[in-house]
Amino acid sequence: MRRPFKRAMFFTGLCCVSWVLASDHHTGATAPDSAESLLVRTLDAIRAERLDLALARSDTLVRRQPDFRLAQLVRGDILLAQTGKLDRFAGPRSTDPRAGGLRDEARARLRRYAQGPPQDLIPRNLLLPPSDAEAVLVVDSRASRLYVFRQEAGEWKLDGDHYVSIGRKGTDKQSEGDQRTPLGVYTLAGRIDHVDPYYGKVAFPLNYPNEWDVREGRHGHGIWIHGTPLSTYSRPPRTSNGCVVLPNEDLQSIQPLFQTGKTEVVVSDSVAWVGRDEIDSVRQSLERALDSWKTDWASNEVDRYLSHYSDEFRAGDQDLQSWETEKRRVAQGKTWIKVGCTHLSIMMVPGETNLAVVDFDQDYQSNNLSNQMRKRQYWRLENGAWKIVFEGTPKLS
Amino acid sequence: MKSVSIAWLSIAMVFIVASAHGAGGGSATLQGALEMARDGRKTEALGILRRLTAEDSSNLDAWNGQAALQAELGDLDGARISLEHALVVRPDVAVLSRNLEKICSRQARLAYDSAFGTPSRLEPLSLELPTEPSLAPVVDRSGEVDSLRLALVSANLQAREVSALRDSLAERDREIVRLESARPGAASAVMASASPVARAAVPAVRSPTPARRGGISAEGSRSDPIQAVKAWAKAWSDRDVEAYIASYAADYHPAGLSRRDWEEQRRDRIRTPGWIKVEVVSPVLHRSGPDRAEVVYRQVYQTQGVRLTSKKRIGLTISQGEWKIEEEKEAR
Repeated sequence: MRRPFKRAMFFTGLCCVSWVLASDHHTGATAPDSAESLLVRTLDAIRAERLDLALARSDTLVRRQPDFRLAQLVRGDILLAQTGKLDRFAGPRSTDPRAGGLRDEARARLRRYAQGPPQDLIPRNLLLPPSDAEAVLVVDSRASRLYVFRQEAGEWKLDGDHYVSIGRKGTDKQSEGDQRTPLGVYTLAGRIDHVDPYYGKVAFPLNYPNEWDVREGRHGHGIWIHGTPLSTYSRPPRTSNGCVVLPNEDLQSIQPLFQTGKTEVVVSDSVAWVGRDEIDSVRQSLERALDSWKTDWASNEVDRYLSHYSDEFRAGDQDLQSWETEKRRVAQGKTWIKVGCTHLSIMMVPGETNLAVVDFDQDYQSNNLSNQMRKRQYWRLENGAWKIVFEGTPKLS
Repeated sequence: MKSVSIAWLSIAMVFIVASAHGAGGGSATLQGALEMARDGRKTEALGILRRLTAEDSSNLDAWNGQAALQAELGDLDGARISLEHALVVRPDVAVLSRNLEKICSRQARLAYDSAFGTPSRLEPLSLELPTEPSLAPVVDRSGEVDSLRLALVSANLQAREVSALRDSLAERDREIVRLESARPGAASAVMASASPVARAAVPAVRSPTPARRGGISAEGSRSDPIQAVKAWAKAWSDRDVEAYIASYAADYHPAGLSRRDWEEQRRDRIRTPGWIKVEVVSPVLHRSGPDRAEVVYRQVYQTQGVRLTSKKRIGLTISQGEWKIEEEKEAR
């Protein structure tokens, strides 16, 4: 049987357009007139059984963002539904291998609106982000989302979130060419202004592999944060070779916050959002461990100092035994030691159990040697006590 | 191109012979526009047709001609809106519906092409220009929404995600609240646990509030007859007789019964069963004037051991700022 049409679309369309323009209040961080917000409203109109409204919203959406592929697909479905010939997602194109990717993108974007970032909670990883950084980025691979945190009166506050795509094969990068996105705490290592248009307008390399990746034997290179091809608004959730990909307009809006060598990027499979109390208690336990390490080092009692190191300690060519041998040798020449730690930052490492990366400016003075350095340690919780499993300098590129 | 010219000529002839719509003077101008289009002066012709439809929005052939020209010139959105406009005036003209279907199919194809980056070479779209009035009524649009819902289900959008989405939107977005507030069953359960805004829009069952006494919230109803019908169905499902009766215009007179007897009968029939569920499926709105509307939909009525599906046509009018039912009948 032939299917006739909606006839009231014209009037409803007018109502809809004015409503979309009038609505400017959102609790979510995404702008009400963002392409994503319009897409979600289009899908919601479908659910409310208002095809007329859905079509009008999709009109507005593709006029604003003609290169938004998912929006075009949804619009195709709405139009085809008007003719009664739509039988599944993506209709006659459902067998196109790319349809599955766009469906995943729809799900990821909808989930953001269904759940939203929790208010008043912050990712468990951000125990004490570096105080001289303007922003910290947190990627949640399962949610296909990048959260931007900014410092405000000494506290890290959520300042927007963005849809992202990651590696074709998911996360936990181990080797060159595995098309995975690495999990861990990374630092923006630079800025590339003239990239192949496939990567958008600008790219920001991460310092993968970082010192922990090297310790774990991971390799590969060229993990960037970058944009989308200029004719493509966004890409399905898993389409990169390991990079973190944002729509160009999103990357454009957040990149003024990026600071080479300072902005940290936490890449996680699933962000654990916790309350301020929990953050404080974990951070304080690490600060106490660090204090005690510092005191024991300054006391020049080598056994006490070495008790802070794990059996699993490894740094470069050294394991615990060679570290111990060297430290005992050095200690013999010391009559006094002073250790200062400033500009502390502490982040929990995603993809690991109770592993924290601790950075600080170390001011070391002793009777026969003084130096200042930026130090990086990885501490792991072993049988209820924090132990150092890596120590060295941050690998920033 | 030749067939298009013939079509244009034939529609011109219809107007010479039939002159079925519009004022006498208008048809000559329409004829002029059609000749112009035939001579290739399409933009100019479109200007005249636009003026004609602006002068007389019930001139269906001018609308159809305008849509055909717009489609030929590649303005598919414009063509669609022209046809929708004509269909608001006369929802039952099959040729308008067929042309709209053609445009939707073409636009769907273009949208998919953009989605998948596979542009296809397409001939300009030519629409049907009838040689005689084609007024065969069109019926049954049920399943249209269902098919899109099915498509979403096949996209694996989990019910939980859907509810959560609705929940969060409810908090942000009064418009959606109004759209949803009269939906029976699961939706209202979600709403009941939602924000104060959502709760205000869905008063607790059997606790008549001032807004409820009016049947439906004034603001929601003023803007949306479909909403009014859904609220009425919800009152029915809730077996809230006062709200149910308040959904009808004061001068609603059912055939063969006095208003008083009708009210008694409804009270009895609504209160007797242990439960009732009335669903409004695939509602379509026809606006016949600023204060008149008709909503056609498929009604699913269920009670213990009974499930009835019927096509309904509800006529509504604005009374004291709210949409009220003034006529109720089985469609077709």
